[in-house]
Amino acid sequence: MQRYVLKRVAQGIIVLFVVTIIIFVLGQLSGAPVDLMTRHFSTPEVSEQLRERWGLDESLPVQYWRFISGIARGDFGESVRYGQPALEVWLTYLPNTLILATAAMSIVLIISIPTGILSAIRVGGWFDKFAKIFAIMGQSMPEYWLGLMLILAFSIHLGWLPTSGMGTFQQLLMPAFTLSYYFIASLTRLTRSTMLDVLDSDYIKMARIKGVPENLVIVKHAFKNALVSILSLLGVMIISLPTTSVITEVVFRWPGIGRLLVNAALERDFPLVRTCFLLISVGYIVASIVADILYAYVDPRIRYK
Amino acid sequence: MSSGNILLDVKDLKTYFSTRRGVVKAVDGVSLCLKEREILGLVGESGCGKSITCFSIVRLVPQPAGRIIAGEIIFDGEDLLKKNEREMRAIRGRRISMILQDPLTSLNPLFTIGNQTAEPIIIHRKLGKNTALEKAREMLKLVNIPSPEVRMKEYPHQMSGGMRQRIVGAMVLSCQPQLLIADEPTTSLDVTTQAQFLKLLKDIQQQSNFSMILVTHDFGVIARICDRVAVMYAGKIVESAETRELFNNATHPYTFALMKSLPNMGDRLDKLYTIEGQPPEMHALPPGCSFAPRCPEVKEICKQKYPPLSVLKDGHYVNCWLRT
Amino acid sequence: MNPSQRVADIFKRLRRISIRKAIPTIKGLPIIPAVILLVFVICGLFGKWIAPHDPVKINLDDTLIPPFWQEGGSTKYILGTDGMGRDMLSRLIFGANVSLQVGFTVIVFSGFLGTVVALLSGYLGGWVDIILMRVVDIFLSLPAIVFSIALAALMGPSKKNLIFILVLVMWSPYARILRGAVLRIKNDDFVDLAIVAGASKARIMFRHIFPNIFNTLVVLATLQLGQVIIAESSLSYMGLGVPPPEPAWGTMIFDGTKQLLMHWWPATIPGLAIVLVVLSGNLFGDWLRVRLDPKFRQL
Repeated sequence: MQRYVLKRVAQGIIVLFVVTIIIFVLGQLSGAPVDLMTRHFSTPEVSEQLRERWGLDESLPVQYWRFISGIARGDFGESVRYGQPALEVWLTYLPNTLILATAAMSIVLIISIPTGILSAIRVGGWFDKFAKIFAIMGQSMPEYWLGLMLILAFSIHLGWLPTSGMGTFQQLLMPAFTLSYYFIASLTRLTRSTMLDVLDSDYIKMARIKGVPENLVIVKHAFKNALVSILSLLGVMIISLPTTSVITEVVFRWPGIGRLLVNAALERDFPLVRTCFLLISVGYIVASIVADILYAYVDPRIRYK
Repeated sequence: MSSGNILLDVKDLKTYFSTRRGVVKAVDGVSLCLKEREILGLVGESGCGKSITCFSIVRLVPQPAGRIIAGEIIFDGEDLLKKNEREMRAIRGRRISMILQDPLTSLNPLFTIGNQTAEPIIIHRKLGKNTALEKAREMLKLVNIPSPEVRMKEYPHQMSGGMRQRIVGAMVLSCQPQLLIADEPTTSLDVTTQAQFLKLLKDIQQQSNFSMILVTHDFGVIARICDRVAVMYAGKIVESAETRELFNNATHPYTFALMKSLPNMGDRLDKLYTIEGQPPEMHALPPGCSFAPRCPEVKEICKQKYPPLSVLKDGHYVNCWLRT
Repeated sequence: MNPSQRVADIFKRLRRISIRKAIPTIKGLPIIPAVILLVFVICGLFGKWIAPHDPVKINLDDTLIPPFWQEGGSTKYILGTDGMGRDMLSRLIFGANVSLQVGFTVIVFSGFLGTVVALLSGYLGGWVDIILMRVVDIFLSLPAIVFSIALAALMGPSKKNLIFILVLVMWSPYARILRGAVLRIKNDDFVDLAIVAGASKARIMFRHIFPNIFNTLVVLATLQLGQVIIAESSLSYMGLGVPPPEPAWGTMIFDGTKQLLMHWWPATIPGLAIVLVVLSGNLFGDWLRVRLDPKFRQL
C-alpha cells in the first residue's frame, strides 16, 4: 500500500512539472507576451524597460528557472488587471467555486445513485426508460445552453429565480443544477450499468441461494461491490467539478476561479491566466492522487498487491 | 445407501424463456425423483437445461425473461411452486442449498471468508455473530481448510481454487440442508483437486445424510460418486437409471454417444469419437425427438412424434422409439 | 489505478449501455438520428448553395424578427433574425459548416495521433511503450476545459488554434483504448505468420494490425464527434473559439444572450441544433459500435 502511494505521488509530481513546462513553453511560443501586455504603451523604450524588468531578455532556461523558483516561493507574478499578486486574487475567488462545486456534488449524489440503483433493479421498466432518456440528453447538451434555457424558463418567464450573482440559496440553485447535469447523466448510467453487472454475478446468486433477504442482497452485497467501481468515477467527478465549473460560472456570472480564468484570458492578463491554470491543475492532480489512494483503500484487491 | 423415502419429486417441470429470437424451452417437461441420502447425477452437453433445472428447483430462475410455467416440485411433501418468496427464502440455504461452478466468482471479493461463511448461520439459525463465527470455523475445519482461524480473516482472492470451492462447500452446508445441488462444482478445478473435492463431498454426505443432485458433463465424475444418473438433452430427460446399470446397459443413442466420446486411457488419440451435428437451436426445436437430426439410428417416426417413456428394468427409464 | 486505467474502466462500463430500443429503427439503424446527421453533413458541405440569405451581412432594418410561426414572423426569415438582422436559418446552415470542419479535422488528427501512438506503443512494447504511455497519462491528467481556455488565451482565438487545442486535449483517450485493442490483436496467429514471412515491423503495424483496430477507431470517432462539437461551441461562446463574424453556433448563442430577456430565439435555436446533432451522433455511434465491434455488444 505504501509503495502504491509513493508511486502515485511521484507520478503526480512528474505531471506537475510537465504542466509547468507546457505553460512556460506555450507562453513563450505565443509570441512576445510583452507586446500584448504592453499594447497600451506606445514607445519602444518603455517596452524595452518592461522587458528588462520582467527578465524577458534573458535565455530560456534561466527564465524557466525564475519561473519555477518563483512558484516555489509562492510568487506567481502580479495580475495586470488587479495589480495584486496573482495568487492572492486566485485565493479570493477560490471559496466561491468550492461552494458551487459542493452544492453540485450533493445534487449529483442525491439524484444519481438512487436513480441508478432503481433503474437496475427494475431494468426495462418505465422508470428505467425515463432515466435513460434523461441521461442521454444530459450528455448531449452543452452546459452553457442548458444554463441559458434554465434562466429563460425560471428567471425570465416564471420569475422564480434570479439570473445571476451569489449569496442567496435561490442564486445557488440554477448554477448548481446546471453544473451537475452532465455528471448526473454519467453517474446514473454508470451506477445502473455497474449494478446490473454486479447483480448478474455468481456471488449475488450465492447470496440469494443462502437465503439472504432481497433488500440486504442489494444493499449489502450488490451495492458495496458496485460502489468500488462507482467510486472511481465519483473520484473523477469530484476532481473535475471545480475545473469544469468554468462555463457555468460564466453563464451565471458566478464569481469563481473559472470565471476569473476566462476574464483573465479575454483580457490577456497572462500572469493571472498562468496562475489560474497552474493552480487549478495542481488542485486537480492532488485530488486525483487522493482519490486513487482512497480507491485503493476500499478495494482490498489493490491493497494487497 | 438410501432409506427409500422420496425427498424430491419433480413432475413435468417446464421453464421457458422469452428471448428476442423466440421462446426457448430450456426445461421442457422434466421429471426427476430423488430419495433420501441419494446422489443423483444430471449429465448432458452445455445448454441442455441442466443448470436451469437446478435454478428452477430453488426458484431462482433469471427474471423477467424466464418463467416456470408448469409442473410440480414436491420437496419433503410440499410443492415448492406454491410457496411465496418469503417461504422460499427460509428454505434456501437452510433446507436446500447450491454450489455453483466457479468458486472465485461465487465468493464476494469484498467480504472476508469468515463473514461470508457465517452469514447463512446468522440468518437461518439466528445465532449471534461470535457464535456464528465459531460455527463457521468448525465448518471450515470440516472441509479440511488448514488453520481456519487465520483464513477466516482473509479474502477470497488470497485462496487457491480448490480451497475456495471447499469454502463454498462449508458455506452451503453450514445449516445442514436436506438437499444439496451442485452445478458443475469441479469443472473449473484441475484433475487432482477434482478428485479430492468429490471425495470430500461424498464423505460429508455420508456423515450428514443429505441428498445431492450433481450436475456435470463428465461421466468420470458420475462414476465416482453418483447412485443414479439422468441424461438430459435439449430440455428433456432422455434416459435415467442407476449408475452401474447405465454404464453397462445404456440404451438411448445419445447416452451411448456421450459415453463413447469420453477418451479412455489407452485409446488411440488420432481418432476421438465426436457426435455428429450441432446441439439444436433452443428457440426452434424440430418436432418429434430433439435428438433425431443427429441420431445414427434415426427412424421416420422419430422425426414426427416424441417418444413416450418406457421402463426397461426396475429403475431404468428411457424415451426412445428404438426401445419401445 | 492511474488515470488511463480509469478512463478505460469507465469506457468499458459506459459502453455496455444501449438505448436503441427507444427509437424507431430500420434493421437496427436508427432512422431519425441518421437523417439528422445527413442533413447536418449536407448543410456543412453545401451550405453555400442552400442558405436563403447571406449569413454575415448586417441588415439593421430586419433585426429581431421572430420565427415564422410566431406573431410578427414571416416566411422570408423562417427561423427569424438575430440582433443584427441576420437570418437565423442561414447562419445555422453556415454554422454547420464550421462545426463540421472543426469536428472532422479534430477527429481525424486526434484519431491519427492516437492510432500511431497506440500502434507503436502496443506493438513495440518495452521502453517505447513505457514512455509513450507516460505521455498519454500526462495528457489524460490535464483538466480539459481549463487547459483549452488557458491555451486559447495564450495563443489567441482562431479556427486553426482551436483545432490545435482540441486535438491536444482529445487525442489521449484514443491512444489508451486503441493500445488495448492492439495488445489483444498482437498475439493473434496472423501476426506470427507475417513475422515468419519476413514482414518488417512497420509493415505489420500498418498493414496487418491497423485494419483490425479500425472498427474500434471508427466507433470512438463517432462517439467523440458530439464532444468536439460541444467543446468547440463552448469555447466560441466564451469568445475563445472561432472568431466572429464567422457564424459558429456557440458564437450565435453568445450573441443571443444579450437579447434573451425579450427574444428567446437567437439563443435557443442554435442550441437546439447542437443538441440534435450531438444526440444523433451519440445514438448513431451507439448503433455503429454494436454493428462493428462484437466485443462491445451488450449481452
